[in-house]
Amino acid sequence: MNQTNFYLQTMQHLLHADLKTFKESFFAKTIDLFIWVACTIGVMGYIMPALGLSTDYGNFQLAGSIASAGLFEIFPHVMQMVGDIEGNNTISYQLTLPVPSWLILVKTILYYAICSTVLSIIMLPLGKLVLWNTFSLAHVSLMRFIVMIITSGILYGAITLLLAAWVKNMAGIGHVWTRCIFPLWFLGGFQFSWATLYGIAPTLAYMDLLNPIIYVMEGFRTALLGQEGNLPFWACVTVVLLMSVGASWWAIVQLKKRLDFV
Amino acid sequence: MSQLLLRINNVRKSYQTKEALKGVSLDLFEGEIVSLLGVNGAGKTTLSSIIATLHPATSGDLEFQGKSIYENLTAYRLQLGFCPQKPNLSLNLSLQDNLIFAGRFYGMQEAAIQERLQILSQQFGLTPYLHQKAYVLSGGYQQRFMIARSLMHSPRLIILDEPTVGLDPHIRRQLWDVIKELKKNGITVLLTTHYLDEAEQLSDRVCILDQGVIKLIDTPEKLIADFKEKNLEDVFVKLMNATEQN
Repeated sequence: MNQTNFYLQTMQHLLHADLKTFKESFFAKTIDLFIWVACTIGVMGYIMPALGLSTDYGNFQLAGSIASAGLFEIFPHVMQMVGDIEGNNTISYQLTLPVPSWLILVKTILYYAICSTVLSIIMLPLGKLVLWNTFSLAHVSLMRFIVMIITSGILYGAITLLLAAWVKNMAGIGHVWTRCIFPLWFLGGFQFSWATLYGIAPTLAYMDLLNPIIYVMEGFRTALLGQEGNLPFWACVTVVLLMSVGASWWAIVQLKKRLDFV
Repeated sequence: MSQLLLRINNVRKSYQTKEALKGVSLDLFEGEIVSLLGVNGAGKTTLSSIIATLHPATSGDLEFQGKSIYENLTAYRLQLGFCPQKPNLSLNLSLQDNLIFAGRFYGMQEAAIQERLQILSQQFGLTPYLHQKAYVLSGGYQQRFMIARSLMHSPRLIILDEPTVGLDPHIRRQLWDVIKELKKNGITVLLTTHYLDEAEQLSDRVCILDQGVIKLIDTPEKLIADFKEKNLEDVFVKLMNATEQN
């Protein structure tokens, strides 16, 4: 077996071992997601239109909720990783395995990406169940949806690693949500489109283009509701991928300093 | 004389404010047990983690069978087993899965993994616990399991970093038997320990580290004779007292 195949096979086994753990928590996470979808989309789709919001707002929120499902996994994953570095330290075992150490971190990104992807996928049927006739599948582009789910998963995996490198210890874990995830999410177009923001405050809209989540939100809206009124889909995919590569590289550099691995 | 397996050549390790290793050189031969001794902060764990390739050396080199390990890290890691001081098992996997994956990570075939699993679980008395999650095990069994995991891929060199710390005396003795068995099987063991009786019982040679420098390397018998003491612990105390006075 040549070395590249050996590394790929080891990566596959490492992912398999991690996914066995994820499998055990999958059912509980699905219930959590159903509660999240039912509450947000139910309120936005059925109650808020009575206060004057568009009747389509539930659909708009469904796309945002699907984009958010993976994003919300970042916090527990950062907690898990920082907890491991400070406590059980399985990462130090993995860093002595016969593969280049940076590949272990790439594997970690992939694992978090897979978790986010799986959880985002199940949001679509859950959302359809809640919105029922209000949400038409006619505009859904399955291919774009899959592309967006995978690219957003990779981005979330990279952000997880970056934040895990940034947080010094478990005592500082609370800041991850308040200082990073919440502003990224809330200013990332969960409740508004980029075009709407541009119409109100163009400078803010341009600044928001630095937020990777805006591209994920817009990408999911295009995939589920059509291109009209959203940023160009393939531009969103490209930017998300570029930002993922940048975040991954920076996270690996930072973790190399922190863990001092070979 | 056994063949040279690993040459540690003038290894230094510096952190921001401290030099943990100040040019350590040591040869490890095939099939011997070498104990690293020293007080807290002497550099034992730093040295063992560098040999385990967990951390890089700041300078110096490690040669495995005449070649720098950094030229082909993967090949070296395939020959190496590392059992860290603190158990780092995958707590949500069963013991069996932990061992099976340990074999797969090193590219072992499934049949070989099953065979090795049987041998090691019998040797370490782990068979009744194979289907349990790792977190239910007591400290002694976790340590046995850690050693078993590091032996799954049949390494030629195993690093045991304080494997008996905090264990009951009878469990310590059981682990001594395991370590002696490793030597019988031709495996080179680098043992880091605080327990001088353990080092005296098990080691072919002991290496005493102090403040990042090797003070002495020799057989326990020779050291006891040279220092005219009853046991290795007295030798160690005498040496440390002399160091403090200087």
